[in-house]
Amino acid sequence: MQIEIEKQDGVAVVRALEKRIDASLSGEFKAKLLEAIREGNKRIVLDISMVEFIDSSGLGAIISGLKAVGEDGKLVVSGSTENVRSMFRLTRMDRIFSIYDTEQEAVHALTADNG
Amino acid sequence: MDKILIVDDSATIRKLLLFHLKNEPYVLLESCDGLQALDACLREHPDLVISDIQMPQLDGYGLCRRLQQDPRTQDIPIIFLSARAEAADKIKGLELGAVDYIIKPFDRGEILVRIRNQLKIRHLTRSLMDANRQLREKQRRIAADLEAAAQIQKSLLPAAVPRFSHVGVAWRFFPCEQVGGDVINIFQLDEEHLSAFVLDVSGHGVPSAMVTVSVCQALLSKSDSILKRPISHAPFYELAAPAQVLTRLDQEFPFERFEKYFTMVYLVLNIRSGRVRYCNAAHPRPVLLREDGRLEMLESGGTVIGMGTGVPFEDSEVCLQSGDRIFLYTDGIVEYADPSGEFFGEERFCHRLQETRTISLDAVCESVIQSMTAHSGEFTPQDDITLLALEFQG
Repeated sequence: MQIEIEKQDGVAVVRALEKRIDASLSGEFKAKLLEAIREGNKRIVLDISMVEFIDSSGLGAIISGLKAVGEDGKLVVSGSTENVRSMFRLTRMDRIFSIYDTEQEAVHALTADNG
Repeated sequence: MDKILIVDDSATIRKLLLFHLKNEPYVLLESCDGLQALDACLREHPDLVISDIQMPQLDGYGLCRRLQQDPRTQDIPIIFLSARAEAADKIKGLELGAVDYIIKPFDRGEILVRIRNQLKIRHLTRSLMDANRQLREKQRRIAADLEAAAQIQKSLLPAAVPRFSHVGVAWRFFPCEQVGGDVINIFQLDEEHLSAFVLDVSGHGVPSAMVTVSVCQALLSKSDSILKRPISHAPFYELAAPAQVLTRLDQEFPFERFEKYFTMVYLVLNIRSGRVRYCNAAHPRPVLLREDGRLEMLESGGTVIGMGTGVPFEDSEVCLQSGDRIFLYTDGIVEYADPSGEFFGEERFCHRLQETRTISLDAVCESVIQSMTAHSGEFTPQDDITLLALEFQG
């Protein structure tokens, strides 16, 4: 599972560089995400604009991230493709995650939140 | 210490070899012909045999053959030691299974190196075989455990097709591994009510399966049932509303407990009136197929179970007429992909249900599986596949 982490104004942008996040990758994805959080990144934009499919174990990894940033942290999602967006909608996860169209909007929202 | 058996009919050669090897860390044994050597091999099980070829009783080739044929000795390596320098003899010896061939007269240094090499190979082979045996044993135990787990999980499903008055039932369940994260069940709550649920724990395999067992235990426990609560006046119990059931599960199975969430539909059907109360926790939408072919999707409820967000689950109600059918299923059906990755999809699924609305429920289940097979070209579950069909016949 390839990811890329970039810091922007105190926000960690985590980009998932895979087309599918399923059972074969979700374990590694979760480990990398949690490692980034343990290293002190509590405000995270998870960019999934490259991802076309997420299964239940992939969504589980994202939820682990959300639970790990805790009450004072924030984890938001950006750039979901139509398929993934409908998955968030069907599971009503769109009520739990803030979902932004673009990475910039998400970063902006998190930095504004802080200021 | 490694044991080496020296086999030669010439006492001089045996002495010479013993002399060369006496300061090496080996236990040395001697035999003066093939038959004696065979006995010694069975008795002492040496780590290496160094044998002459031409000997009375049983020659070196014969010894090699007999050692190879007996499972008790076939792993003992043998090095031939012979005056014959002919290539044909060497080839014959090696073909019989000898590991090396040393020509007399020999040099001490050469013989020591060749012995060391063969013993090293022997040790490596042994530890490899040991590791292999342990691995096979572990594999066997894991397979047995998985089989036992699969049996436990099967016990959570309806034992046979349950028979209820006024309601027909059929179901299919195919876990994609030996055990899976899906469960369905349908059972009678009291003389007026049936309940049915389908749930799908995130992930696959043993961890998800263990969570399904835990959830089923919480749901089906007779003493402290989430589904049926004791009250102080007649009839001394009260059926929990579906939303209450899902709320309780959301409290008891927070995501952090197993790092898992699950989607679920719970419904209660009144078998006299046809009234159905249900709550859908982000599960693929059950299909209500009216007797005349119209479709309604049972989608209201809440998000997945385990988030503990405090966003309430909501109950909804539909009323069944005679001949109406409800299908509960898991995403293994709608996300069943063809080789290009295209899903079977809700639309094809619903269409199939409409086309088959006049045939028996069991035949409908079969036809859905056939239709999925036709979509992808084969039927190999990529995820657990679960389908429960019920028809109101009130």
